[in-house]
Amino acid sequence: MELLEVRQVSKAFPGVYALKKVDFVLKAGEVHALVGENGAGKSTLIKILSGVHRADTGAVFLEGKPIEFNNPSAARALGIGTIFQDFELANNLTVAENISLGRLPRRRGAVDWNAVRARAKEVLGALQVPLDPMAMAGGLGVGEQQIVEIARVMSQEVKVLIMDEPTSSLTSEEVDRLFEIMRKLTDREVGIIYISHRLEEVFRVSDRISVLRDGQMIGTYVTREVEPAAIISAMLGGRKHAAQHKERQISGDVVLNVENLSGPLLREPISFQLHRGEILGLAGLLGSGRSEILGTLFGMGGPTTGTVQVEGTDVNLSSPQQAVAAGMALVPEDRHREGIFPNLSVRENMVIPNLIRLTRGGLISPSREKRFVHENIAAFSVKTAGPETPITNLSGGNQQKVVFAKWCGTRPRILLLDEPTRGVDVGAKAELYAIVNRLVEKGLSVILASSELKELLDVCDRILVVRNGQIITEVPRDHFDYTNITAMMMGAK
Amino acid sequence: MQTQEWNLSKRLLRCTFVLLDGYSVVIGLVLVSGAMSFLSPVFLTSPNLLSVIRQVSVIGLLAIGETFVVLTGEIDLSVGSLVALSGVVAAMAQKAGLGLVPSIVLPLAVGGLTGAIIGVIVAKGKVPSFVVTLGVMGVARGIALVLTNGFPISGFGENYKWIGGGEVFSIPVPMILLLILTVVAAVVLQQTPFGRNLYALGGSRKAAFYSGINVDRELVKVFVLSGTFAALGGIVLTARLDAAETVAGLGYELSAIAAVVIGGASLSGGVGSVYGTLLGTLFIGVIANGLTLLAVSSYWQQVVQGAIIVLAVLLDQLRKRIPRGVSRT
Repeated sequence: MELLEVRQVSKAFPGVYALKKVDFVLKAGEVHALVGENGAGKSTLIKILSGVHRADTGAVFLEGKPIEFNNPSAARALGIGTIFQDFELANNLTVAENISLGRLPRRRGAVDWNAVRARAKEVLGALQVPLDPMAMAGGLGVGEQQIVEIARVMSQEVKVLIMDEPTSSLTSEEVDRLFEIMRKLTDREVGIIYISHRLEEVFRVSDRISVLRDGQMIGTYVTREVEPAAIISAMLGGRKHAAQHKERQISGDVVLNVENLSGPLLREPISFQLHRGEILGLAGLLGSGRSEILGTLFGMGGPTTGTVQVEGTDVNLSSPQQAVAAGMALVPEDRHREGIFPNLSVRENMVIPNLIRLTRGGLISPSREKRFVHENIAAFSVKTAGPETPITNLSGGNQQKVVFAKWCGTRPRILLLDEPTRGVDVGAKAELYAIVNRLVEKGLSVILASSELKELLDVCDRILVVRNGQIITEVPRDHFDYTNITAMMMGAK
Repeated sequence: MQTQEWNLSKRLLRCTFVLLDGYSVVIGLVLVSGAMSFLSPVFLTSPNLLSVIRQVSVIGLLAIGETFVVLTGEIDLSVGSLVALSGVVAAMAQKAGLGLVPSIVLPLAVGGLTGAIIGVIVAKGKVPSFVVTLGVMGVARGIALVLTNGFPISGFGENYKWIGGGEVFSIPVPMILLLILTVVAAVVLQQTPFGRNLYALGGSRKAAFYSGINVDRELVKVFVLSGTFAALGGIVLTARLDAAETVAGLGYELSAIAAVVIGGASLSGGVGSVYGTLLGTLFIGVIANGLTLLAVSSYWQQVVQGAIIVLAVLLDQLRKRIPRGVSRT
């Protein structure tokens, strides 16, 4: 008898991808990775398993018994726990209280705080993590918050644990710790469904791998019997592989000259130069200050001091408006909260920074707006049912393309990209970098911050290594070396 | 079997909501008007309908301004008190013999300035608009009391009274004002960068900031608009009554917010339209008129209006639970 079995499950949404007769089996004590491009149906499948969505047809069996639920608490009651990618803790409460949230133990009607603390200690102890149950959740790092979320799910009887992109904001040490915890859980016969875009991690941690593509189950593979290349080709189904670096000649023109720039976001004054047509990488660990450098260049922190010149002219970057006027564009790190407007359509999202340009006599010209949107949907190959589709109906990669498109309409000279491919699948990643390459060929210059060094090495012409808020060194393309740069990022060199 | 039936009825409910989405005000208006025309022979007569419109036009003007505020996810509770204050200012200008233009411009300036102060405190001081405008609600009516010692002012020039009581081709002037300004506001919201920015920052203020929208400036503008529309409401009301009273506009903020919400706007921002608001205003007017015609006490009318707001917001919440995709709000 299998722990969890999905039989012929289908699900359709208006205007979006669906699941088509998907079969899936999870055994007790295994880590089963679920991979596929964005929009392949991974999220839909786990949302069905966790009770967020309901399948249109087909059935789900837990330990041989058919189960049916339509809310997450019912799924949890049956022993299916989910750690969503965008989980949120109550920041103003303690770790212990977060772990017991929603089912605080009571004694004579009042909350039994001793029991709350004891439960937290017990479950954190079982996971062998040194976290203070009385610490405020808001004061923890993302990795620690994730552990609290795992503890929260684990503090109830869990047979099936679903983890959606659990490592996307973790440092490599935190990833190691997470994998250890997962191993402990599988020793206790918990079945884990592990969703990730990071193939390297998938191969490290999983026992089996299932590949979804366009809502269909392509196949299930035993991890140690399969090559990563085979998984990628199953995921992509003949689509082309990730972007590789294009050899090109960088001109000597300095587009951006930063000297002793300091501002509220920066720990140390920074200086560097960016050349025309160059892709400059900012490599650094989470919290190293790479995002803050981009934020400061986009005027997010308020007044700055020091010198910034764009194409030789002094500019002031004390507000986003000034930064835009100076020719900057920023694709922010947190797409959901900073990149898109969830209440608006693809069209409305795309035109926001371009509205002034689309007006005639003070009013937005509908025909110009329409033309702009159609051109950019095509130019950025955004997969959408139409311009009026709500942006939230699009997959992550396609939402990100809209964010790119909205900025490229403003004809920026410098494009600031903060983790542009976070939570985006291999195929969309390649497309996004193809777009970046195309823009660079047109003379745009790019500063790219990423936690995935591999990506920086693939794409950049030059890399600045950031540590503790400082630019500690500059690495030209012919000195690119994964181990070497990682060592510098981590302070080992 | 049972679950299947349950599914079916749920699906039907879902379909109904999707169909209703965006049209619920229209349907509500038609239903209530239909019922009223059966219940009262007077309802469908043109004098009665014109009086409905006269009565709601002040609320309607406030509601236009309120729509801008609600779209950004904020709220303005000061508009009712501003009706009183601006009315008093207009009346004093009339009594001082300043003529028609100052009697309009001065109160508008007072309303706009008050809005600017609110906006700056909300945007720069990061104080919730609920609190700021609640405070200003007390301050504005207080100033009106101070200025008049609580006595009404009356006896205005004919040209001033025309704003509230006049007609053009037998259409009341306040109604013409309301219609024109509704159309103008709709164009501003749909066809200007300012209007689009409001929808954007109502949806995600963070993303708006990251998109280079000057969020603070847009917020100040929105409150200036709301204050100015409230002042216009005050001018129209005093002109119609030929009197400025410190109790004028009492509770109008509730009606204005109700009109906006019934008109389909979301109090969390980013969703709504001024045409919806106009229909919401008419809906409130028809309900009030109906209750009056049916000889229901005016005390009960307040109860009904309060309940309608809660219902409208509840309906909005239920609507949000349906997966999006088919319809647009």
